[in-house]
Amino acid sequence: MNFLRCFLSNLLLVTVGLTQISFSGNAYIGYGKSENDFNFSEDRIDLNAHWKNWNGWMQLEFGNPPELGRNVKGLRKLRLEYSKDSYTIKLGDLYEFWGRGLLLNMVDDQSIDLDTGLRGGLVNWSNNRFQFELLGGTHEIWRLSNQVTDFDNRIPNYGIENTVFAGLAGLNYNQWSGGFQFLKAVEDHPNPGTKQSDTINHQMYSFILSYFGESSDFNIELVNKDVDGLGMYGDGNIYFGTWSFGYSYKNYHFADLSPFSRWDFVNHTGGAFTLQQMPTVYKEHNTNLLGKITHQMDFNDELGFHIRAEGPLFDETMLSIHYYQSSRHNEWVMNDNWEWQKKGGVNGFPSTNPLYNPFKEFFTEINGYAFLNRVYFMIGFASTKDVIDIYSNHVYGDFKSYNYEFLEAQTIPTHFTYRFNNAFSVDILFEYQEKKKGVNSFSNNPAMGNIPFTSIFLKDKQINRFVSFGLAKSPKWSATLSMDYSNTEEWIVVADDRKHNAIEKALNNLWDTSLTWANFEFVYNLSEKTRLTLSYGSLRGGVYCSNGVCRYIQPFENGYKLGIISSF
Amino acid sequence: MKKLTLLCVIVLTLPNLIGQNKVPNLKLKKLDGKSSLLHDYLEKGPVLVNFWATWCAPCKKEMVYLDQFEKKYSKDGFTILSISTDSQKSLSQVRSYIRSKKYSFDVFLDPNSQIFKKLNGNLMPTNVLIDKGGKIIWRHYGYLPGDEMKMEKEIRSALKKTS
Repeated sequence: MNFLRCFLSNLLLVTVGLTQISFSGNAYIGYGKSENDFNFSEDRIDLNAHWKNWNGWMQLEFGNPPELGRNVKGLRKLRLEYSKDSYTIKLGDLYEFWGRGLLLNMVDDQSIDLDTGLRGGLVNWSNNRFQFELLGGTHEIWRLSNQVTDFDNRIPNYGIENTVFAGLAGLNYNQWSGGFQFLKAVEDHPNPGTKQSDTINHQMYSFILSYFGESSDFNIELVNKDVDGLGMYGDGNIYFGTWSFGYSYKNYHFADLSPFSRWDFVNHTGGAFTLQQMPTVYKEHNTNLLGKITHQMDFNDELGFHIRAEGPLFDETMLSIHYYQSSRHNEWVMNDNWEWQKKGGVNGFPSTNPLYNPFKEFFTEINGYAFLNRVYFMIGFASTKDVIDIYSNHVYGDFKSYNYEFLEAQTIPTHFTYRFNNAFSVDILFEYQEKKKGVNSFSNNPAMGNIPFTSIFLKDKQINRFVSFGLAKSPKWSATLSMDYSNTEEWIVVADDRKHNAIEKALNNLWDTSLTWANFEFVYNLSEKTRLTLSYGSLRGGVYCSNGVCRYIQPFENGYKLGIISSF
Repeated sequence: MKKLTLLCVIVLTLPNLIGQNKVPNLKLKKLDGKSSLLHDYLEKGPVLVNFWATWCAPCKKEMVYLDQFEKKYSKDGFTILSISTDSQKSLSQVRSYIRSKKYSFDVFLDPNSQIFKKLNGNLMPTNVLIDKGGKIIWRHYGYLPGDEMKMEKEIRSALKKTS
């Protein structure tokens, strides 16, 4: 009897308590199976709770295995927050963003499996004039490296743990704002050679100044890391009516790494800290073919600018023009022992010398509505040149020889949507790309011979076309057939035996589909809160970039995917 | 699998049975770096929170209608809060895009998607309609041409309840 009384009183207490709390959240269920073993089963639940000045968040994940990343079964993230008046206190998994991210930018981007969150605590006091913030905790980041064992395209195999303490003080005064930030960290860096961990100390200071006026704005951020690491970022816009002219500038120099060790974060310590996720200073393309040739940022050594103009041509039609250019700070030359040595250097503006890894892109886009908003259109053009890697650069006497891998592409992305009267609409995407990728060689030594260009493809030039046809009925469903076609592929990809799906086999009557990846996707909104996605077919693999970080995603061959997203 | 199914059932049903679906008083960061509180906007009437980004084509398609709704219903106390989730890569281009389109609604920044997650955003664009009492009355993921008709119906219904 006592037990029953106790149980009922507790139940009443819990029920009354819970009715005061506002709950919300969302659930994601993902499942995929393909003939090339790109199989996954990933379920995630985010739960938010709110009561008076308290907020709570937790994320549960159940992967078997997940689409990308390490397998988590159970609680992935947890945070409790208290806010009152000007104060905020947070405990648990933190994701903060200071300034433009030169000193601290925590992101959780599951599309590329990048998580730079911090587990710890934060205290903030702010009003519209002043801001003070202190935070501390541990931060564990996992990355992919072929310098350690168990390399797998989908699962990171190298983890670094950092203990971090950071703070900021900021001031807003009319249209001006400024601030000072600092960060101290102790890195626990596993050394595969000694099988022990090295301890590395990081120390950073940063200064920010920005102005936000009616006809112009600008922002500048400077960061100093350890003894000689320096980073600078600036951006601004000038407005003439509805037209704007803008610029961004980056000068990140945190480590001097030779072309051989540039991407080796396992055997090289120091350099840019993992919490530094800085502006890339080039446009992040969202079209299929341009997204695959995005320049890969080196946060340790990058110098560049972006200039842009944007404005309406006429009603509902907008034009934007962009130009970006970047390079490394130095040239690297091999000595007689074939060891890399730093030579020369630029510091103000990027070099166009191929031995400085230059990257440049011109991009223009016109988009808008026409015919009384019935037609949406977007037509773009991009010309891209990127020196991806330096293989050798040797000087001996009067002779010089070098070779480097480069990419050159012209891309035309287009997108058209036509809307009918009865909530039906048709969506067409067409992208065309001509791409040259290979190794350029030079030697002024007649004895060496000269092979100016060797393509990485089986043909000199790769021609890519991406076509997608969609039919939709608002607000219920959409169906899309997409085809990614290429005339040639890199030898390493061609070597893989492709598993063609039924759509590709049917299309084979029309053209040779050995290098066509076809996919059909159906999206159905079961309710306003629940969305079901089903897809069947193949997806072409490639390099996908986000937040300046790129990773190779393997192809998905002849399989199906199921996804359910539901909010509550 | 059984555990997961059970967990999904519990998580999906429990809050609907005993919880409330009210939004916290979120602190929103404006383009100029200053802050505003969500509840200050709710005092005037219903609020539609729209999450978008400069790289999101469907978001841009939808925004032209959001601007029309803001102009049409702001006199009735309705507000659109447009929250850009552009990260450090494209943050500098948010203001120029809004100005070139002459959009009149207030624009805020959420570069690490913390407000997006607190309002259970999942896909881009995400729209969340909140009534004057702070309760979420409608949400919508993605944009298909024609979705704006449903959105306007929900806005009218929210305004009718308020008046």
